[in-house]
Amino acid sequence: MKRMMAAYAALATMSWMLGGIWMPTAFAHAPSGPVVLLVQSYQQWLDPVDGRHCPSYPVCSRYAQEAIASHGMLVGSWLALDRLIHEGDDLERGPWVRVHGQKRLYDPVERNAFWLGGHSS
Amino acid sequence: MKAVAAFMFLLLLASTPASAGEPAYQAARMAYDSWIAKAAQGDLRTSVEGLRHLAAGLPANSIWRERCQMAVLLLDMRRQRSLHLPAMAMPSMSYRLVERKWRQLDQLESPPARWLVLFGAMAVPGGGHAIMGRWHDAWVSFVMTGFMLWLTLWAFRRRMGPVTVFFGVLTVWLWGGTIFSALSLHERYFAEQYMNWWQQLWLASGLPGRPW
Repeated sequence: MKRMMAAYAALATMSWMLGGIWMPTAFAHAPSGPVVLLVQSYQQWLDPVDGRHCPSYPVCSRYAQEAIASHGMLVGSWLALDRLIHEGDDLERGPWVRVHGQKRLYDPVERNAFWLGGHSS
Repeated sequence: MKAVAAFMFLLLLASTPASAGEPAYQAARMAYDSWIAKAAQGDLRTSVEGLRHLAAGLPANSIWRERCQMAVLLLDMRRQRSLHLPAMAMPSMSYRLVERKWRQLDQLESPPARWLVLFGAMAVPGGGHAIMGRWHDAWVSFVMTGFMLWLTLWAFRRRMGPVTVFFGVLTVWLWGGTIFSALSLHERYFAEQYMNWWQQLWLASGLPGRPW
């Protein structure tokens, strides 16, 4: 039990350090190529066969691509994760935009990343 | 509530201690209108200077003096806003003065403190979102990170070295990401509320143009 608690504390501390303290600058310049490739593979192969449509504009994969390109691998991937997390509540609040006749949640990268103080990579 | 506050603000601007028929009142009004017209044409610098001089030359109890001063503050805010977006990033003296005046009329809903959101997100995955009232987001964060945390501890208990490290890295990324997400949404909440307040203030002032 003691070991489990120690493992939990270690994970929590690392998360706090990364997310709450080092966050804006940590690994900003880490190579983002593999992650971008992953997103592109999704867009190329999985997106056409995935039946669900992203309710946001731009769509999540495009958003992730833009976020990683402009903010590096770590912060960019967190911005993409943040999009997946906040979409649920935002879908009840808006703002909305019409794209090809469809009502979509308008949520560009700038809306969520303006406070990071410009592009970090 | 906002509409009432806007009405009260307009009422403040429209309250007239001097008679509307007096020549001094009419002269001040004409001068005020001419400088505001200048602002409408986009010449903010000249307009602000003109209004400032006009206010200085008017008696202390003149309603036009107060209007000129308020217009100077708002136009100045507008000018600075175009340079620093959002203006909150570099609050100017004029921003503070107008904000104070506006706060007297309308109680801005204060967002939860940043440290509280940070503490909540650190204590429990999704805690920061819950503090901001984003329950759906809080639940997603909690389930996602909690499941990965459970997997990591499960692998750790069975001494599955590389698997533990793999799940551990994912847990740290996810938990760190939910903390980031909570902070990001806090920043956005604050900025959007500020923008909303600022737009309403501008509309209530009746000044020309639309600076956003």
